[in-house]
Amino acid sequence: MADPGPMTEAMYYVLLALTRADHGYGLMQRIRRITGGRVNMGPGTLYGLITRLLKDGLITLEEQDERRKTYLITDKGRQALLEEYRRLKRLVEDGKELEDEI
Amino acid sequence: MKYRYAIHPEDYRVGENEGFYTDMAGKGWRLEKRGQIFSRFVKAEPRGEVYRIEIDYSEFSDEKLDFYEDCGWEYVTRQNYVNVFRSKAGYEQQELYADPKEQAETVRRMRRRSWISDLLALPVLIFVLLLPPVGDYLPRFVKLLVAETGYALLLACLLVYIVVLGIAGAVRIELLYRSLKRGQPLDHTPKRRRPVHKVLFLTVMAACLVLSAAQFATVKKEDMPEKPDDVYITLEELGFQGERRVMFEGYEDNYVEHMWSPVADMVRSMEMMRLTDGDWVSLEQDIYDLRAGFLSKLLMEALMKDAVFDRDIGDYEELTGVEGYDQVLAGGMECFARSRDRVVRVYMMFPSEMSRVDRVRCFESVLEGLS
Repeated sequence: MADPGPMTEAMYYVLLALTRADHGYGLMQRIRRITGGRVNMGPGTLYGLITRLLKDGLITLEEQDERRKTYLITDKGRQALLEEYRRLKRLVEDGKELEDEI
Repeated sequence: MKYRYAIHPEDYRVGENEGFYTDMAGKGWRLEKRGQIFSRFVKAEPRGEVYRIEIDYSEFSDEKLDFYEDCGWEYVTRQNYVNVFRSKAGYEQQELYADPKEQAETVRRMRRRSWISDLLALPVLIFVLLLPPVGDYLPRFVKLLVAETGYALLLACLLVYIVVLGIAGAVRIELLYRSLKRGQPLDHTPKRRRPVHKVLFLTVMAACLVLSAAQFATVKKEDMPEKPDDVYITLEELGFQGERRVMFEGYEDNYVEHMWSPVADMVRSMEMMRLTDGDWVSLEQDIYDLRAGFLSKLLMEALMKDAVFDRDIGDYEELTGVEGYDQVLAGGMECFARSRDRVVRVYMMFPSEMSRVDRVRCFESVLEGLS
């Protein structure tokens, strides 16, 4: 598979939040909490993302009761998240010099 | 259950629609259904609900609706591609799209469709309106305008309204798309414009319908009296002797029809006679007394296009000696004439032995008698 390139911020946080199984609304709240309220994702955005991540096999449907579906990150998703984390870390480390100079 | 109907803003005025429904809920009218022009509200306790709209051409799946509900948004209604949601009271809800750029993607399809439909419709419209020699639409429209003014105006207004609305809609959608794409959040409570043009349009449509009904009601059709009671000429006045009869079973009787329109007074007569020698003659007259004289040329053109036999101008002979008319054209059985404010069509079935010269004289006598 070709390298999908850098993740969007929204994708990154959805995958991060789904390291623990959660449903739509819980997921939205969790992302808001993790980011200290900086990232607010609406259901329109989130639903589109979840559909895409499911299709790409990065998350899976963990549980489904009558109305509510719970999602969880897959091994493939975890790997992609880890790679993105390392990429972002490298970026920060590369920029560290700048902070030291200041 | 008490219902109320109100005109909602156009589909592409997303923020205005949201604000409109929110205001109505505050006044105790809860949205129940959204139609093409009107929305239906049901009486309820005034409540502080928030409404949001998502543009989506595909039907929402139950799964997606459940997802939205989990997130605090209750699905209310759908009309075309406009999906309306409202927040559940006391539920801390998140905007459907926190990022305007994401929301821009939902508007993108509406934008494309709108431009495509306009781009397809415009050339057709230009072709229809600007190329009358191809479609003969202008004279035909004038004929409709003269004879059925209400109906003609209704069609014209409808056409103009659809075109203007289409263009205005496409521009608005484009502006909305660009503003969202730039990251400008949607204004969910913009000042609502009064739907003046919709009210005006509906009023004009209603007026056209009333006019149409009035015209229909004023049509007066009666058996032809012995002596003419209006502008038409009788066969007897032309010198024919015989008995008024109907040639074939199923033919309309000898009659006179009077019609009114704001553009003209019209008289249509039909007379058929069995001559004393056993031959037949008939005379049909359509007389338009125009209040708008500038239409006479186009009206005559339109009448000639519907001629029974001779539709080519080359089939007609121009008669120059008839007083009171600017143009007189006589064909085999039909004659058309116009003056500044009158257009006449005469159709005659002549006795079999009648010469061409006498036939033309007959037409001249009818026209002179009329003037």
